[in-house]
Amino acid sequence: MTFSERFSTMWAPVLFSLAAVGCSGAPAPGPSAGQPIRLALNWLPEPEFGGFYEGVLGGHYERAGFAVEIIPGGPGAPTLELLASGQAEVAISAGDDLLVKRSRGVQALGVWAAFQNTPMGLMVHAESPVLRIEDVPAGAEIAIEVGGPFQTFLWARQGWEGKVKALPAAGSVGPFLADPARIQQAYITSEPCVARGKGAEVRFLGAGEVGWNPYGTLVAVADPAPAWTDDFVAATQAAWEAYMADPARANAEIARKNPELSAEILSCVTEAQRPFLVGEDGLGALRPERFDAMASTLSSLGLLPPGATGAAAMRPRGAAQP
Amino acid sequence: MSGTPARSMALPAAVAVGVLVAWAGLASRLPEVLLPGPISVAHAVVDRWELLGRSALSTAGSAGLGLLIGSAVGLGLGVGFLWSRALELAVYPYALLLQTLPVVAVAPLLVVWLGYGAPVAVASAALVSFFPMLTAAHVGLLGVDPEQVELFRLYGASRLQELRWLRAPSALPAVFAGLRTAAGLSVIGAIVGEFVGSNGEPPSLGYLVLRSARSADTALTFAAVIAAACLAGVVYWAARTAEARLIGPWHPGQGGGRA
Repeated sequence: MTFSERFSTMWAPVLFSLAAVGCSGAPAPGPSAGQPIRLALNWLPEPEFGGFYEGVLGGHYERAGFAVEIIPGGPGAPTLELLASGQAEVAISAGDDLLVKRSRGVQALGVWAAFQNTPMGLMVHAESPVLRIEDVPAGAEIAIEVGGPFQTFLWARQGWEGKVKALPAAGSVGPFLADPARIQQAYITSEPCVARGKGAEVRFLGAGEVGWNPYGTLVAVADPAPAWTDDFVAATQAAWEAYMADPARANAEIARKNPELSAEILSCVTEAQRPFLVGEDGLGALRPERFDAMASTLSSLGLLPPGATGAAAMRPRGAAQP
Repeated sequence: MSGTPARSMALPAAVAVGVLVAWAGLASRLPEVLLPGPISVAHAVVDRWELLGRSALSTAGSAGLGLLIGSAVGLGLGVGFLWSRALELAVYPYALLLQTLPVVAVAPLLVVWLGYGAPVAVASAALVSFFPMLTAAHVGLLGVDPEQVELFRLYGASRLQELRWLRAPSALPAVFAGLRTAAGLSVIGAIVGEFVGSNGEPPSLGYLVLRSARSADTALTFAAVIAAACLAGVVYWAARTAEARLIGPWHPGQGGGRA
């Protein structure tokens, strides 16, 4: 047997089967007829996106003439980049992220937001003396996304530089559960419910209370806004209202897509996120002043050029088509 | 292989038992969210067998395809360097740079270019397995007895004949050493790619590690890590078996050289 014969008889079956496995991802179910919308989530399927799933399952999008395909995201999901490169028509983002990416040339507009108050904050154990973020004492350690905008903001505004130590967040509540003095960055839609599920009593300190309050689960479309934007926003509003009235159907779909979420965590998150969804302005609203305020905060942190404004990053509901 | 078959089974088994005992001892002193014991990990393996299996298959596919692509490019470039000194001078520094490219940093780019999931994992596995194969090919193809090369040239052998009958066979030991390194790395590379560029469709080991850590399901994290280790073992074993079949009978590096 020559070398090449030996090589092909030994390796070809292995390589072919590996190649076959690599290419065998199951195709997503195709959307029905209508304006096709690929909606890119910025995290895995979770209740923070419940209304979008309800929009598909409850027919809200279909009745408004949309065939929506939801594309789950993951860590660092580049949703606005997917939008900019034409691989998504709708990107889920956050107020701060949208402003920063726009300053880098991504042409996107915020048109609707599920979270009126940011779901981000800090989590402490219930017996901790820290009742507000301002109470965090000198010498404390916080597990947080080091170098992220929230960390930069906290250390600058609270005067924590050199006093409070930022530890890289390991993406797990394990170290938090093991240490009663531990403070950790958290999303109301995730860590507090996971910690409670493991038997811990925790307190969530929302970032909005210390002035870091970008819109969350922000719906962004291309700038200038496509003609279908208002219809899509109206359908999204109806879908989210339906989800908040009865989350069962969408949550069942989320549990199917993300089997790591237990029924217990799902229902905990669905309740915990409720007050963050409906702020002073009601579900879905966007206010230009808040984008301006966020832009000036980001400017003061050096994350946007000096004097940046934010109102142009959003489109008021029902604005005339450009 | 050196030693008797019984010995080559008994020694790793003894280490495994020792590690399990030490692990169980340590786990009994720590909360489960930090270190689950071997029994709860075994439970996770049994209970989540289907998910683990599907994830491991998906990761194996990405690692295998990445290894294939990385090896093909590495070997091809190795031959290119052999035939063209100019190509070597022009490209080798950049090949070195590519080796240090942190996949984590470029993951969002890879997602935009290639899409979520397996494509990012394949690219990441190819990136890490490319360099060991290039180095191995480079060293192996050049490391030929100059007198043999002279003999080939004296008989007017073409460059292709010289490669086929002289350089390739004598490069095989080095190439297989590179393949063993690249094989293990390709699994790590695929998992890193999945960790940063997966959205859970289809599930994969990197996704499982991320997901289970976030929901504090540490037993499942460990089960996924063990599945990854088994996968690396299988890939390594496949490379080793191919090596033994192809060059074992005549190459001293197969263990026959041990005194």
